[in-house]
Amino acid sequence: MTAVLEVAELCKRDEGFVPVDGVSFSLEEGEMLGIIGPNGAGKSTLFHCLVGLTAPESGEMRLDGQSIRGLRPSEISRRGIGSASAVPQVYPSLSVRENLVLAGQERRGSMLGRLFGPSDAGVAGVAERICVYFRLDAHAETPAGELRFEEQRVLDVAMGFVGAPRVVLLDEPTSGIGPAAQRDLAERLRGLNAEDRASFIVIEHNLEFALALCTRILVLSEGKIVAEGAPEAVRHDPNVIEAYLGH
Amino acid sequence: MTALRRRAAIAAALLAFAVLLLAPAWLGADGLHLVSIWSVTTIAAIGLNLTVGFSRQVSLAQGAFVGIGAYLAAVLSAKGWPFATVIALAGLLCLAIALPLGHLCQRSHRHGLAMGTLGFAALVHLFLAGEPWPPDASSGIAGILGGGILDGAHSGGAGFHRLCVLVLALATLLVWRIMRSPWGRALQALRENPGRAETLGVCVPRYVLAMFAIGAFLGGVAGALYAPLMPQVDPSHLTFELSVRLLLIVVLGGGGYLLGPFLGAGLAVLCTSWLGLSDEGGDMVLAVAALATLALRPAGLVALAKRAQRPPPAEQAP
Repeated sequence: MTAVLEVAELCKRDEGFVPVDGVSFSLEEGEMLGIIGPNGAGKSTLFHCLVGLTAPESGEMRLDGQSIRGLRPSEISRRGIGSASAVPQVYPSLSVRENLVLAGQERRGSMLGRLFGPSDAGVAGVAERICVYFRLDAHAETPAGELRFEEQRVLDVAMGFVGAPRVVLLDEPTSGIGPAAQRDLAERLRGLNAEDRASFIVIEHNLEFALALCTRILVLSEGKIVAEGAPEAVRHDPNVIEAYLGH
Repeated sequence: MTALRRRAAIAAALLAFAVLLLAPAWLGADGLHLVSIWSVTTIAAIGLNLTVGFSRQVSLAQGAFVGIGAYLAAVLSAKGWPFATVIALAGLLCLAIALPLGHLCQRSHRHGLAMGTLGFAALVHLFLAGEPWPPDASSGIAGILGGGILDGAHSGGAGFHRLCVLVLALATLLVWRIMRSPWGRALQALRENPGRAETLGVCVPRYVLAMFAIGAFLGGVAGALYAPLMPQVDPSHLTFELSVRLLLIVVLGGGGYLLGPFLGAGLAVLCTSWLGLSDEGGDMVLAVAALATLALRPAGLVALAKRAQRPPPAEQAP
């Protein structure tokens, strides 16, 4: 197996951020990795570093062996990292279909090509497939702002997967949605992994969701990885219990 | 917009341009001259709208691009260059200036484009006013006189009027094309949520730069068309005040709407010509109207037009 994403000794200790302090891990092709930890563990800071929204002070991040540290978020996205942040950020006035096309169009062709090419940039088919897969097709023409919160969450996650990214990073995908919607989401994500060998990282406060979905778990506490392993092993790890109970 | 409404809008636009092209049949020389000035002002405002309306950035350089275009047209026409070449060169020169200017302005600061274009406009103003060079430009350049398409341009010549309307139609088509392409979607995304646009792969500075450069191209073209409309060209009048006037026109007409610059420029031309106001008086009316627009109806005159055509909202279901 080859590593799709490698992170080595990543540090972010600036004021205003929950610190990340020397985090190293790698993600294999087709892997579902969970990064869990209590509030204040540095999960969101790590997410922001990986998608390029904030610059780490030291360390390295590589996608398919190429360094992505210091690149703009848009460049990181085009190189193959899809993402969905903790608060769903869909475009309320665009329809569900338009949101999905938007999420894929910049990964295709050049800027000039997009100006002179078709208005869907050739991604309508892919967007349609994702739309059906995430069961949003009944609302395809609905402005995303009119969807219920749980549907907006699903759309936001779906947008991360349009255009065949190499890795998708999901920050707190279960926050604000109920147990039934959480089960549905886990089932969709598991299916994508089984069918397309989609690789993704779920960054979660919600222990049960991550342990049930992911094949490997990293535990983050106070900016450091304190445990790593299969879900069942992590569940009984004294470091994990300490990290969660200590907060 | 539904397909039916889109077709209706296209039909209305084609009809409007046909009427404008046929205007020499029923409009006198003064009227034609006025419509030509309106067309050229609209082209410049359409260019500025790409930055101010569609990219939500402030540019104070559009008047400078118009000034550069007018200056180049005056110089090259005097040397006997064909006017079609002159128009194209004026646009391309402004595009070539805008690319590095826009790139540098956006590198460090959030409001870089506004500040950088302010400095650029001030510099162009000094140059075109003849300080320090060229020494003979301070009193303006004699108007462009010539045969063919330029015949009687500054006194309402029908050929030149048609040229202005044709270029206006092409500029409109260009912006319409941009808005219908994936660029339109990316621009909407960067206006509404630039952070999410970036994580979806939309490189915000690159789109802003592209729109700024295309807008500068249209500014240069407008300048080249503006020069023959005047008996005497003083490009220094076409820089800073004009930048502000064009900003007012875009805000007043409705930033981010295709139709906005047409309405805003219409009001500006009415103020200075039909109301018989001086440039300063016209600017005052525009400024007050722009303030009122921002306070009452931020989407500008376009919003009034939309309100008029839209049926009253249906009763809310209980």
